[in-house]
Amino acid sequence: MDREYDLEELLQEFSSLDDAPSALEPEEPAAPEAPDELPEAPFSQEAPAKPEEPVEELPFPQGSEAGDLPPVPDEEEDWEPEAEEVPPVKKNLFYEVLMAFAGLIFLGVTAIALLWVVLNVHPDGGTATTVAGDTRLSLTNNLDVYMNNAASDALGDLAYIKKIYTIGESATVAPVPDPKGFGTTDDPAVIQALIDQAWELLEGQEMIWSPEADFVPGEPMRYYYDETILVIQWKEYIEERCCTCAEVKLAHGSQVRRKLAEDTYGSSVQLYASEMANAANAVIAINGDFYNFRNLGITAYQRKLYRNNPATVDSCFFTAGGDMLFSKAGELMKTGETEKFIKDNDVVFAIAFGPILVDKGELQYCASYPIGEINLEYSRSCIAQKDTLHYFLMTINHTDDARPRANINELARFVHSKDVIKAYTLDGGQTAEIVMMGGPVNNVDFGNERAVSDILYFATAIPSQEVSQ
Amino acid sequence: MNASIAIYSGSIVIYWSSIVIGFGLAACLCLSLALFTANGGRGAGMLLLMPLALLFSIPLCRALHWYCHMEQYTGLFSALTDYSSGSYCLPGALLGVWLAALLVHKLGFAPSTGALLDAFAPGAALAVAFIRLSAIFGSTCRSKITFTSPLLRHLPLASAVTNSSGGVDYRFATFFVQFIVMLLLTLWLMKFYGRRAGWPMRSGSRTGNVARMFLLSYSAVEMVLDSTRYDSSFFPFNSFISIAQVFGALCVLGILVYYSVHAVKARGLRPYHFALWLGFLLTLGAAGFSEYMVQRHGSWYLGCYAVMSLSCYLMVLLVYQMYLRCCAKRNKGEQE
Repeated sequence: MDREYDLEELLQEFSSLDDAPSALEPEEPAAPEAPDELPEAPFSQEAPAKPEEPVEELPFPQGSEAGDLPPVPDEEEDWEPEAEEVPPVKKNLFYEVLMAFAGLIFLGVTAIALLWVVLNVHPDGGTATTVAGDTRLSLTNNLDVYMNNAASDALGDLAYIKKIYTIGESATVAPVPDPKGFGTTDDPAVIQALIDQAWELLEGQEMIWSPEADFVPGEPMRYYYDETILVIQWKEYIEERCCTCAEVKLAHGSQVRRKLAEDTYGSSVQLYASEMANAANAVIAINGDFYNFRNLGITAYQRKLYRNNPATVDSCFFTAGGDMLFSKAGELMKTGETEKFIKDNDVVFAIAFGPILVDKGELQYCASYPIGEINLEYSRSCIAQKDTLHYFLMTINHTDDARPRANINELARFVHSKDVIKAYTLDGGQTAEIVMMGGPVNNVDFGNERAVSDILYFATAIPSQEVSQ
Repeated sequence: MNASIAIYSGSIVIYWSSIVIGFGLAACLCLSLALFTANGGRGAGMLLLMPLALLFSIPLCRALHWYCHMEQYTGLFSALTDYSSGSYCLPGALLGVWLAALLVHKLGFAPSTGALLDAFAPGAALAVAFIRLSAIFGSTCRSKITFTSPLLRHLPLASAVTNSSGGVDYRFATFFVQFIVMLLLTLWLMKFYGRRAGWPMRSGSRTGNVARMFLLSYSAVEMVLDSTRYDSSFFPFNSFISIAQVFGALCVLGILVYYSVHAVKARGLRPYHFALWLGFLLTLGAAGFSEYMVQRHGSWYLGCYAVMSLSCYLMVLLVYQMYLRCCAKRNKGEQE
């Protein structure tokens, strides 16, 4: 036992800020070993004042850098380093004046440095590239929309012209959906009635949702419908897996959107998908590619190319018309080539995770892929397109009854079975998430959302003023 | 940027946060200078240290931020030359200050790097406190933890943060809490400096121990509080453990290794050394596990951060114990 240091007292000394004397500290000021009698100038270059007490008060020479001594057994409690004679240092007046002058100069330099800091260092932004978006306006499209809506208003009851609603490309928040448009039901007949009601929006397209599906018992079906968007969300079993599905039909391509945390590309901020979905007034949202997590693939946002690293992963582009386009790994290797692709195809944003699951209606088999642990059973997430402005979202997650999840090729098979023409994998694991009516609707891994850097979402285009009217 | 502007004149814009940081650095200089000169050091050394430390630290902090957020900058050169936007990673300052102290020592303005850093350590803690306080005037005090109860929606626990849709979230005031903790740490380091700067050691350098204690405590604080932020900086190859946490853990580990080597050298290998190492491993494991759990189960933050805080505190105590094993007895008869 080392009597020299009492553990409890030392802990107390370390953890408290009061002046209670410890075993190491002699009582002040009576004891001759008080701190002010310890080496007062431990690194002084001047000669130390002659101590009144014996030389053992100053066990090491002043300014000594290292005190390495031979190992000392614990039993040797009275061990004490031997004092050494310290040769006095002679004062040099010229040197002292020179140092004082140097001090003055350094003071001036310090003042300038501090001033520079005040003028230049302001780390509040956190990010350097706030994206204002590419505000290039598509004048032709905007004119078409304007003329159509003007004609609709002018003709009124004389002739029916359907209004075109759009959301500005650079808008970070979509119109607030009509709360009356949301609903939940257990009855497939209610959903069927909703589909019938949405005939105009559906434009004759077939729905993926079917009353014949193997619905998960006890799980409600959620829906939203207004003039510009129809969303149906449900859970069904496919080959023992619990699949959370959502079908979306839009009226305009501007309603499929991407939201980045802080609406800034490259932001260090990460948020829960539900936070971002709610902030953006999403009707339904799905996790994106978590672009901040890795530096692969092609990433574009608001028509601007930010990352072009497509050597190993597939990328997915969303056009202004709402179509999904793919580029496979190794394609579009040159930045100029990608920028031309974005411009030629009217691409608004691009995401990079993959692989491609279905292309042109054909199932894509993936043998190897650098991300996503494709051969493992994992929580999965994907987005698919069935037809014009018609999308399908799917996640496969764990369940309370321990159902298996899926590898990538199983996911591809499941989503292909829904007759989609294109499907693309999004980030999986704890990130795999569909958000509707304020929160996640699937069983997110670990029961908690993970903070991410981006989401994809679908929004109503009807302006909030019209909803309130 | 949501930073509050204090002075706006022509092309000159001065933010409140910059002013607070400037005050913090000035306070750091005054405190360090006082401690250094009061203990026989030359004022010129400390006065030279400050501008050199800024000269090295600011680019290093920026370079670290660039490394973690390359896509925020057009390139390393622009990151290092254009300070009108962008941010910083504070761990870079640790290296910057050390390099500056080394240079000041080599130039002959200080007897040793350790002595200079010892005197600088309490001031550095004060500067960090002010830097964190500056976040009150901007939007960087951003935590994952949101408070819904109106009772908790005020400082020192929560601060209002404007979200992207224009709404206000009340989030845990990470930086304000760190400001308070760093102020307390400053006081403790001043006391520690007064008592133990230049303390004789059985093995190891008698200078630099105050700086090591600062590094140890600051790292432990960062390991916990950086985890609560939703805008932490991560390595490009790993988005799970933040760079501040990794630096913190490495610093704590490095200091433990340093004192362990000297403790063994001074007294030989003893059972209590194993006990301290085992304790350290356990606390490190507990802290790491808490971090994993809070990432997976965000809603468990109260329990996870309580365990993590306790683990980091114990980690510091254990390393401190190892430090004490390297210290020499003050003088004969003191125990009696």
